[in-house]
Amino acid sequence: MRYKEYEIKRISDAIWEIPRSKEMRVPVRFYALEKMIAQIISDDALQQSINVAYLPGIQKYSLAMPDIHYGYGFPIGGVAAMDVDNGVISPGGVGYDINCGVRFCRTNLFYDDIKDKIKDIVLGFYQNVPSGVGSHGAIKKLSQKQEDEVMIKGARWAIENGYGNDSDLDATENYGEMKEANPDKVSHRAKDRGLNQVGTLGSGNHFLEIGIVDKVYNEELADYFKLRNNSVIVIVHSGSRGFGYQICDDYLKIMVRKQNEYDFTIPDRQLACAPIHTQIGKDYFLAMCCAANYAWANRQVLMNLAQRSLCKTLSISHNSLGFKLIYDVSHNIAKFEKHNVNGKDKMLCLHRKGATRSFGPGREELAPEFQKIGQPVIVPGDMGTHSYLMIGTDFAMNETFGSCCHGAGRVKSRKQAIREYNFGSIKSELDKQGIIVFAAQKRTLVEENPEVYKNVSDVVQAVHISGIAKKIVRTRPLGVLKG
Amino acid sequence: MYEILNHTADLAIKVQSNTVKGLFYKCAIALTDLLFGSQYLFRHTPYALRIMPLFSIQQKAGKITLQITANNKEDLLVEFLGELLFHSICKYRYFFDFKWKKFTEQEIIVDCLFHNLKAIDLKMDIKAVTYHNIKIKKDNNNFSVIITFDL
Repeated sequence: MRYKEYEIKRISDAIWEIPRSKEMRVPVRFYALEKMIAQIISDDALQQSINVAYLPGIQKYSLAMPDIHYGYGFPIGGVAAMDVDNGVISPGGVGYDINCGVRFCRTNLFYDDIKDKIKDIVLGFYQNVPSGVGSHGAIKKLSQKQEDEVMIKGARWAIENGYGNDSDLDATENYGEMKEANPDKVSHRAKDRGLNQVGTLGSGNHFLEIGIVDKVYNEELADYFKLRNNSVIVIVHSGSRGFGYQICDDYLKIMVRKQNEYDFTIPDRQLACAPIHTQIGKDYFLAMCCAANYAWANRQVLMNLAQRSLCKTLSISHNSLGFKLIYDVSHNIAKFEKHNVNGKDKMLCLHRKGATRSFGPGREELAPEFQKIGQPVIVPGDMGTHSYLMIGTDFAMNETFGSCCHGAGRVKSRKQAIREYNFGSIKSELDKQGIIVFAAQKRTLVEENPEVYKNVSDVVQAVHISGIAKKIVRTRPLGVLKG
Repeated sequence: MYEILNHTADLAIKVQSNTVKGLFYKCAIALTDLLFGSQYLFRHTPYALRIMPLFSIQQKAGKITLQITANNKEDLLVEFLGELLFHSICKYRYFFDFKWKKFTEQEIIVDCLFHNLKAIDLKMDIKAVTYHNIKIKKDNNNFSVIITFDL
């Protein structure tokens, strides 16, 4: 099999490789079912993975997950691990929506408890959780001092201010806080943008969903998380909003200007980067940590707003609802992690852009309750299909630096979506499936309709059979609030 | 004015003009149109757009002056649009005309005229203007550029 002038080698059932050639420093390795390859090739995202393989200090492989699709600079679904001594850090390898991520929550409820109230539940979400373009926080505009605290404390700030419990931190990647955050490295412009957006969902593909477990693959782990068939679950997808976009923009601009000073060239200016050990490389990381913390605070508040909204709509107490965060994963982030490279433990700077951490058991970064089983991985689908809860594996640690996919992955552009689909037919199709959707804008519903995404079950199957994460349960949506 | 291209994850547009200055102008107006729509734009000539007399928002037009320098005209364009995006998204400024005081391939000074709108008037959330494969091309006295916006 070939992609342009490159050979594609099959490594195993769902693992493929483009060997190193030209100025590539490492091969490209990607994960997909054979039937997905033609679509992946047609999208040209593999060229972006090849471009990433040119970057200095990249280790082992330029990785692409099965939800890979064409982005800018890095592909979406791309993972790159850089040597901390001679590698680079790239804002484009994280993306504008720094620490965009997903959280998955369980409740004590079952389908029968809510089947007649789904419309009310989604209406409640719509009224209580700010969403859409230009939405403001459900919490009062922050002072500068408060915003600095958000940047430093992350999810802990939200909990200290009444949005959740300490136990939520154990179930959040990095405990919802990157300790390196330094607000002095964040521009006034970024700070301005962030003042009134904590507790907002945003627009585009961000969402708040209520659904049920509709298939259990691993009874033991499903029991561990108290999930059974028809258990009601909630999924939140959002990020660092304008605050994170501005930080990425600020540092990209500086790195683009400085690019000529370095002794390497990049194939796309959106891959602008700086050696990790330089001042600008360090400053970007410290500012990025502020945005990561902002995003964790944001999702913590959003989750708590959803929880309160559910209690109010269903007229039940928090105890009866039994709302519990199972896990919060980030899918746009750079982190320093220790991994085994050629038999030696090495500190690396992991870039995950549209990719989720998928740590197996025993990693010291995980809270005690996940030490034995590994880290939960959340793979949301689109509003008309399924989402999956999976678990990280030992195999992923060696194969992908503990990484896997982050969602279904787009296959059609927004332009195509608007040309091919209309609001009425999408709404009626979702109605037929019993899925209630509220969107701040009709356009969002058209642009984000299920047909523009890959089949999430194929993506998850590729992950499962390649072994970089394993399925626990599948869920299906009942009601969705789209941004 | 501009053409929306297929881009799997984000939004790419193609803009053409017979001068580089015209290209910058049209890109700026395209950004306004994407963010707020063109319902407030009344009639336009290649270089000038007018605000509808019945403009529903009665505030007086405002003006900001931007001075931007960059390594080349492509980066200059990205940074110019990035500035406009910030003011549009964060301050709900509807830019409708631009008066160039200086225009070179590495520096612009420009007065940007705007009306104040509200958050609710935003039609689309554009996160950023990217540098992705940006190149201003010249072909038979016609300049064109493809700009990718992160959504």
